[in-house]
Amino acid sequence: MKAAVIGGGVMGREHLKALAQIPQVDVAAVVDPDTAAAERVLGVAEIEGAQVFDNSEEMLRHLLSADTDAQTT
Amino acid sequence: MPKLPSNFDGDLSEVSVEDFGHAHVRLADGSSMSVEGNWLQHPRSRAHGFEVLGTLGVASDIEPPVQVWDPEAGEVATVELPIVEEQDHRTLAEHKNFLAAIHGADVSLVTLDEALHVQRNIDGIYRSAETGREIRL
Repeated sequence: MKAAVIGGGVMGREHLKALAQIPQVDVAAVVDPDTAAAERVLGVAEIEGAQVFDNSEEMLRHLLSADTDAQTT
Repeated sequence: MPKLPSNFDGDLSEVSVEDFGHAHVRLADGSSMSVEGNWLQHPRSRAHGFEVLGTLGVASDIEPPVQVWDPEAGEVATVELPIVEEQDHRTLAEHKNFLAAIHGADVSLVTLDEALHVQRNIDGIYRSAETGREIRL
């Protein structure tokens, strides 16, 4: 299952760290207006291969046509 | 400006979210709720939690969890409850529950109606702050 996290702040980081511990979940994207923050939290959570977007609409356009099943905020 | 007390390890100047809020909510049954939120500054011994104050007792997430008035003893008595050890970090447990729920393997701990109810309260609190008036929901 693919997931996207909206928000690259403290809570986004916590969500990513949790999702990284669930083998069935593949974090596909992180959204934050500050894309450097999104990259930073991905690094902290040690997640590789996820895309970074600066707005959720763009992320949805890219990913919902694929097989992203869940989003967390 | 002097260095401010903070629960945040990073640079406070980089923080763009709000911090510190309080609301008083009166419920239809006559009870009331005090909501307090601050995570960044003002370090306190309790980072998060709740207390329910009733006429004859108190329930909270701090020790002791439940205390009730014992009319026979004429004093407040602690009620012993079994403590369930948490298997996972809470955020991880929430995600596992959410994933199980959307796969039909479990029931979501929070329903859509509950989430919307909470959001209506939060929106009302913001409107009250903006207008300086009580908001009736």
